[in-house]
Amino acid sequence: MRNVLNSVIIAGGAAFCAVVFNGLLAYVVSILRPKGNKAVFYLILASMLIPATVALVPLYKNITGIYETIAAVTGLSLRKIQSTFLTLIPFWFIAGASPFYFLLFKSHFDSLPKELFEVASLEGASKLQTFFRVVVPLSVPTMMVVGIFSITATWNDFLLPYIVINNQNYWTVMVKLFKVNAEMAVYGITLDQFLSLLLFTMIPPVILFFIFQKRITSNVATTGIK
Amino acid sequence: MSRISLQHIYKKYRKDQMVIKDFSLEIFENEFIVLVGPSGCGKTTILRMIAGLEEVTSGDFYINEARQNDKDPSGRNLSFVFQNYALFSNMTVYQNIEFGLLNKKMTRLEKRLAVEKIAKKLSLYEKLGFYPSHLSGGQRQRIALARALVDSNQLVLLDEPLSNLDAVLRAEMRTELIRFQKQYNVTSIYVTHDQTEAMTMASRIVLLIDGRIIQVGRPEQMYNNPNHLDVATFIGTPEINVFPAIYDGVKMISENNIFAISNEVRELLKDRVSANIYYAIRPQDVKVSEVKTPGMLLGKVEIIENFGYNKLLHIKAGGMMIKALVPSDFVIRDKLFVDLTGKGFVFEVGKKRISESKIKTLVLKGRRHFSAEENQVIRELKNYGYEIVMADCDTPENSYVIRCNNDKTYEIEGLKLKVHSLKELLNHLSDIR
Repeated sequence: MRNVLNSVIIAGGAAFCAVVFNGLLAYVVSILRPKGNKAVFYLILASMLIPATVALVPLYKNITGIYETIAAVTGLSLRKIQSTFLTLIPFWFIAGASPFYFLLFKSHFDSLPKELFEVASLEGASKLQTFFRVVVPLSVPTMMVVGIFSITATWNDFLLPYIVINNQNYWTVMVKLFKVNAEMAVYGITLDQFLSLLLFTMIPPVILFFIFQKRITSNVATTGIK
Repeated sequence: MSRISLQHIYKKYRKDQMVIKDFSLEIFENEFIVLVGPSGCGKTTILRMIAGLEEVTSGDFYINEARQNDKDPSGRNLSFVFQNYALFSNMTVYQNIEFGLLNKKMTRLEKRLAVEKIAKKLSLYEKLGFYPSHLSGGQRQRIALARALVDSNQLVLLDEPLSNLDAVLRAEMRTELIRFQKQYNVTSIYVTHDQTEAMTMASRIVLLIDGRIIQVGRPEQMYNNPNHLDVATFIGTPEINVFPAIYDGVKMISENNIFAISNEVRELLKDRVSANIYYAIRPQDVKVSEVKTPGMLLGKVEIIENFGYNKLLHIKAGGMMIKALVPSDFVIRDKLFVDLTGKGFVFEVGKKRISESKIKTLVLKGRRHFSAEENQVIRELKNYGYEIVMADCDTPENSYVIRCNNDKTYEIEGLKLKVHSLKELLNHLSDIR
C-alpha cells in the first residue's frame, strides 16, 4: 500500500509538472515567438534523438543535483532527505520533461486561431493573463492527454526509480514488484499471489484512462471553433 | 473623437517585398473609411498596422496628433473586429463582450451595466448566457461588434466582418453597421474586397491596388469620376466595358469595329488621334435598339443575365463583347444595334484617365497664418487631391484663387463666391467637381 502511495505521489506531481512546464514552454515557442524560438524548438526536437538509456548517467547526476538543492533549501542532510518523501520530488521534473508532450502542446497551440491572441493583446491582457484566460481554457483536452500520458509513463517507469531510490519505504510499485518477483521466498509469496499483485498494479492506470477518455472526447467536441 | 493621420507609410515583409508603398491618408472624426481593393493589395496590412499588430517599416502614424508607431496595441484605444469574429468558445456571450472591458478600471457592476446596455442595442440580451457555438453567424458577428463597441473606444477597425455571412444576412448587417456607426459616432475603418459594401457604407472610399492608393473619394466621386482604369473596373456593378481602341479623329476603332462616341469624348481626344487608348463605358450607359442609326454596331446577344428589375445582355459585336443593361420588359431580338455614345471614359495605355483639365490647384492669397481649424480643412482639401499653393506668385493654369480676408471670409476669384468658412468652401468645391 505504501508503494502505491509513492507511485501516486510521483505520477500526480509528474502530470502536474508535465502540463504546466510543457504548456508554458510551448506557449512561448508557439505563440509569443521571441527571438531564438526556432533554435529552442529544434533543440527540443533534437533531444528526442537521444536514447533514454544513454541519458541515464547525466540524468542521475541531475537528480543528485536536485537533491543537493533540496538539501540546501531545507537544511537537511542528504541521508535525511532520502528517508522522507522528498526523495520522490526529482521524478516530478524528470517525467515532465519530455519533448513529446511539448510537441503535443505546440501543435495544439499552433492550431488555435491567432486572432484570439490579437484580441487579447488589443484589450491589454498581459502575457500570463492571455495564457490563463485564453489558452488554458481552450487547451483542456491536450492537457488531459499530456496528463494521462505522463501518469502512465511514470507509473510504469522502473529503471530510474530502481536506481535512484535507496530507501525501501519509498519504492514505487514497479520497483517493489521487481523485488518481490526476485525474492519471492523472502516475502513468502506464492506465484498465484504474485500474479494477483500484478493485476492490481495494472488496474489504476486503466481506470484513469477510462475516466478521462470520456472527458477527452467531450472536450474535443466543444472546442470546435466557428 | 478620433482623427487619424497616416503619413508616407511603407511596409516591407521581407527584403524587396514592399507590401505598402507610400500610404498617406488623413481620416477625420466620425468618418466611415472603407479600404477596398482586390485581395492581396495590402488593405488588411494597413489595418493591422493601425491596430499595432504589425510593425510599420517607415512613415509616421498619428491618432489625435499623438505618434502611435511604437505604442502597444492596447495603448492605442481602438477596437478590432476580425473576419472570423475571434470569439472565445470557452466563454459565454456575456463573458465575451465583457472581455472588451478587460483591464478597464470599472467595478463589476459598471461592467455588467455596460455589457447589458450594448447587448440590448445589438439585440443580444436574451443570448448573454449562451455560448458562441450555439449561435448563428449573424449573432456571432454582433457579439464581436458588441465587444468592439462596449468600451466606447473612438476608433473601430473592421476587417471584412461580413465576408463569412450569407448574402441575405450580409445585406442586413450592412445597414445595421451603418446605423451603429452613426449612433455611436465612432471613426471607423472598414476593409473589404466587395465594392458593393464599399459603395453603400463608406463616407469615403480608399481604393488600393498593389499597396498603392489609386484614388480616394466619396462613393459617387469614385463611380462618376474614376481617375484610373482600375478604379473604373473595380467600382460599379455590372463591371464596366473596356475596349482597347484607337481614335481616328471622328470615330473609335476597336477590334476592327468602328463606332461613334459622344462629343465630350471626342473633345478630350482631339490631340490624341491614332494613339492607343482604352475606351470604357458602363453597361448602364450602353443603349441598345432595333433601329440602326449611323455609328452603331451590329451585335448578337449571346448571354442574358436576368436580375428581375433589369437584364444584362452580353452582346457580341465582331471581336468585341459588350455588356448592356436593359429594362426587364425589353424585347430581345437575336440581332441588335448597340450605341456606345453614352457617358464614356477614356484612359491612357498607362491606365490614367484622360479628362478635361480640372481645377487641381488652389492658390490661397491674403493671409499667411491660419488657425488650427483652417489648417485641418486645408489638409482635407489636400486629401481630396487639391494642390494647395500659399503664395502671391503667378497663378498656375487650372486653379482657383481664394482670397482669405482678415475677417475670416473667403472669396473665390472668378466665381464671385463669398463664403464664411473654409468648410463651406470645401462643399462648394466638391459641387463644382
